[in-house]
Amino acid sequence: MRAPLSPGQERLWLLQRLDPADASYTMYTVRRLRGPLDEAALEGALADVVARHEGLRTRFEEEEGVPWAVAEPPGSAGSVPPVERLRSDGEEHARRLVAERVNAPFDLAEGVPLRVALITIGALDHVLCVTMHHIIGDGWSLGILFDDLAECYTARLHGRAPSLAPLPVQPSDYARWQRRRAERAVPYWQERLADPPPPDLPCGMGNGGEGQGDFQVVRLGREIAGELDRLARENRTTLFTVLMAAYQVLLHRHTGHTDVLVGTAVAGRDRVELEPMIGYLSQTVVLRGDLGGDPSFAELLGRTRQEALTALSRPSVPFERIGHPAEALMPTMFILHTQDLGLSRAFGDLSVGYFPDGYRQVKLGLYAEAWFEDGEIVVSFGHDGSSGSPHEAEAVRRLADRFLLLVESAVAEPRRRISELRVWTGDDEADIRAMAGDGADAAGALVPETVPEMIAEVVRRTPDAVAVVCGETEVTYGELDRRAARLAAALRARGVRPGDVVGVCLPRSVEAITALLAVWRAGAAYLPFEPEEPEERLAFSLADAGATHVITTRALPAGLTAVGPSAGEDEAATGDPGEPEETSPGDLAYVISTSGSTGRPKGVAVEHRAIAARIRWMREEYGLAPGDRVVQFASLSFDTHLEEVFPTLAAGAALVLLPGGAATLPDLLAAPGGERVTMLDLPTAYWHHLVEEIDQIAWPPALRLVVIGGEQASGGAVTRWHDRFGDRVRLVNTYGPTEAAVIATATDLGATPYGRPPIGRPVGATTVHLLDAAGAPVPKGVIGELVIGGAGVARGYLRRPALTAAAFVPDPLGPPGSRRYRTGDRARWNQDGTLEFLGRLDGQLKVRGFRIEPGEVEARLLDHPGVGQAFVTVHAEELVAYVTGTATGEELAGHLARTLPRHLVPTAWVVLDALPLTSRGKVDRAALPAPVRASSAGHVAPSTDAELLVAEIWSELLGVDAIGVNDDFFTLGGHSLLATRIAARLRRATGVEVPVRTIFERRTVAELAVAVEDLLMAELEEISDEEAERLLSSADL
Amino acid sequence: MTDSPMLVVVNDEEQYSVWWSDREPPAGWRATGFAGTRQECLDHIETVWTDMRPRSVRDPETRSVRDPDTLTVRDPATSSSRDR
Repeated sequence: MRAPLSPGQERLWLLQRLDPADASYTMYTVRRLRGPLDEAALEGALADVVARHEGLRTRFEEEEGVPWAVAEPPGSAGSVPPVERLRSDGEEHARRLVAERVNAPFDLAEGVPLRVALITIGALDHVLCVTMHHIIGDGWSLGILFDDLAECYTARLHGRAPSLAPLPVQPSDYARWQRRRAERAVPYWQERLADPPPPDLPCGMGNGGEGQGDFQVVRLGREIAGELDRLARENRTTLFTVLMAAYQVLLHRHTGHTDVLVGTAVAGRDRVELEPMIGYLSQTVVLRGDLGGDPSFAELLGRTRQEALTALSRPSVPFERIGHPAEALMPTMFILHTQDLGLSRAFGDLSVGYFPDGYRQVKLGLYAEAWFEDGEIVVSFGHDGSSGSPHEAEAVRRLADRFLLLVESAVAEPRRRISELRVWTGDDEADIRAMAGDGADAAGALVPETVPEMIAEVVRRTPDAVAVVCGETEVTYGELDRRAARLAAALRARGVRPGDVVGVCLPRSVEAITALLAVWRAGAAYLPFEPEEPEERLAFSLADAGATHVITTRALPAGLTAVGPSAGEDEAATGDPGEPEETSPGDLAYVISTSGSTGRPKGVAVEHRAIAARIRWMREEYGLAPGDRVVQFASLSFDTHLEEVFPTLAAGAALVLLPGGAATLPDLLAAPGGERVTMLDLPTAYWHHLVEEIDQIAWPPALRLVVIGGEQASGGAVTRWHDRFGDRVRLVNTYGPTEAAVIATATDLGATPYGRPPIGRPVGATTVHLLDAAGAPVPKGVIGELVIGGAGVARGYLRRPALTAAAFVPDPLGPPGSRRYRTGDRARWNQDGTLEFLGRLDGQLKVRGFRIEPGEVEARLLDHPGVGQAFVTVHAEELVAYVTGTATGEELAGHLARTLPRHLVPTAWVVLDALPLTSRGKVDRAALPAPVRASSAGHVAPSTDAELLVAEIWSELLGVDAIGVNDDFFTLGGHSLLATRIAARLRRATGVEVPVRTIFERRTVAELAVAVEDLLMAELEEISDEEAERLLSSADL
Repeated sequence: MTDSPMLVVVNDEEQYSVWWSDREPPAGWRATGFAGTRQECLDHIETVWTDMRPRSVRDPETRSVRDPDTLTVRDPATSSSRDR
């Protein structure tokens, strides 16, 4: 007889096919039988039970990919599984034998997935171990199996027929019926489980278990169990609902999500005729908890009860039908076992007891099961323990302890809001204090030295040491100081006063570094810009900062005073430039213009006190000293430049500039002098690209430290780094917003492999707390908003009182009156006390290390009359704009370039008829098409060897097919990071050094190909004919 | 949290922020007397916090009044002391 499978069986069949070694669907019942066992009667009873239940005779056949259930006729030869007889040397051995069996997988192609083992410990002491695949039986079935076995055994001993009522329904009938019911339930589940929340689990537990489960158990004592029961009755609900609600709160307090998905299992035997059947009837049902609005626990009970009533009455459908992967819909489960595990029937004259099963399969990243034992409720937290990490076991131990506290708190005060329920243990509270860091500046109670004072000290000590290197030019500390003094005098002569803000808009040059120092010397704060900052934005930021003077060679709009970078030199004859203005720690040091979500940039104002604390820490921690050479990579318009420029100058080391732009770093390293570079500070995204081409970069022999930051570092890149450098070059990962003075946390990334490399611990003079939605600090394993206190906290956003008040908030854990900065970043404390970065609370983006408020770009797009709707996001390291309306991407890019700096202008454009929305009315990111890039209209195929090579490399790195010779690197989505890699690839293919600069200057395939040919020719001219012959014959050209 | 009633608070440097109305402000902060939703509090701060320099920096005897935060014309009688 052949029958279709129920939807649940089909799913299990598929899962077993995908992973035949997975034993997590092995079901078992293990009982100790003490007394005189009649083995023949037992075998006979087994045959009786198998004959009675079709499910125990069912095997699975595949026909053209479709599984069918085939039941052997009752009593047929071979339908009863052989009893495996084992002798054990004692109880310990018996345990091992049992554990081996309950953790063994089944091959569904190999006949009926049922096994029976009888282990003899002694003449009057046996263990019966029955295992089956879940596809033929659920937990309830195991109880029936044992009951029926007991009855048949007893009947055989007494020579009577077993007293069992005939079965009205068999699994094949049920499967047909359930297929129809499940089909009807699909629309309900699709609607109910649409837009699942991110499947975050406490403590960063992964989704999906590997099988080597680990369990942590907590016992809710009789008194609490009684209280739980009372709470359930008072709220007209069940113990299951109360425990489920508590578990939802536990998850919510760990992840911050108010939309919580928890699976559970129901028996699925809501009809009397289904009760005595052995089969897979239990249903996995997902409950969607709404914990929004911080309800009281009692109120949540009402919501959970309603959800349970609605959801549990419906048949479940395979997750595949709902349209999301199982991990997304059911990251975790909570199950309350209410079946009485005791025996309802006598097993002959044997005494029946439990025997340890040693089960250790875990199907999910985390799941909780509860059952009764002696009036207590045992709650077991299972997780994937295959990592063997003691940290993870400890994390789950904590989780179990927190659950106990939470339940106690909820039953004691069910009217309390769920955010106020006690959940953190004493150990947790101690951890929070220990991990937070110390906000006090290392300089102590003395008035701390400001950065200009630190540099002045270096000037006094080593006036002849080289301070700045720019190409062929080297400038000493003494000279730098003289130039800064003269430029400061020129600023003062033009009306700049202490407390003013002065713009700096200069290309990468000694003059630019001089300008920063000159502004400080005049007692003012600097506001740096990109040299090609769009005029409108420049004027806006200056006006916003109340700045009227700009050190620049550019022409400025009316009302602004341009001060040439050499103004001081021209006027040097006018006499003594005078002493520097005194800077006190509370004075403003600089203003950085950052992307603002409302459509306008905002100026972050940072005081000398804050940046001095940072520079002091960096100088110390990075071990900077005279002799170090540090590359100035960052654009001055971003605050990372402070981390390069000032620790270097405050340490008397040399700052090496990149006049050709940041992307020419590989050129600088390969050029004479590059070998002396000792420290690099790079955006993480750029560093990732360098590591991709690690063997093509001329890494300086003197290099000893690389600092990265700005984005999540990749564990793979860290491993490659250490494979190449071992411990020779220190790698430090940093994190921090402009609002907390460049960086707030840091850590060395060692050779130990990382999943997600951490962002570290608080740096000096800094505290970090992770806060939940109610503003309370959270311990290890819990996601919270990263909030930074201490000396580095900025003054605020210039002339944005409300924005400042919202982001810079009272710090109850700092000194009286102090403030801390809410970053809007989500993070979690790892078990080792380092922080793991988990993205944004809002929509802020990072693209190639640039911080971008998509709202700012969207607001500018909506200014354009040809745009209806706009949505800006990131895709493959590119800023992508999705727009509706009549405007083309090209028009809009031009429109934005007038008001936005280059990094805020999308490089990929997708014009849509309408933005796709989810059923909840949000933009449906999953439904947005990936941007497609096409080669330009006038396509001319590459023909020379060099053109073919260039086109091939572009095609691979830009992800564009069929590149034409006139295609432009930037139009195809190229950017400086990719330029580095293209140069490296060309170098590898031709053996010729192709400067990164060339990639920018020769922007089409044809131009770059000519440049490569020229470089090859130049190289050939310098070598002998013989060598040339050899090279030509071996080159890939 | 966003719906719970909040207070406008100020510290000794006359820097403003918001705090939960059912919790005591931390040491060094005092309530200004304004209460409302979070947004109402922020809107209120937008109007009263006219000189964003910390009080210790804003000493008219020794400091220029051309600090960027003071460019809006300031009447000492109505600026930072309005809430007290």
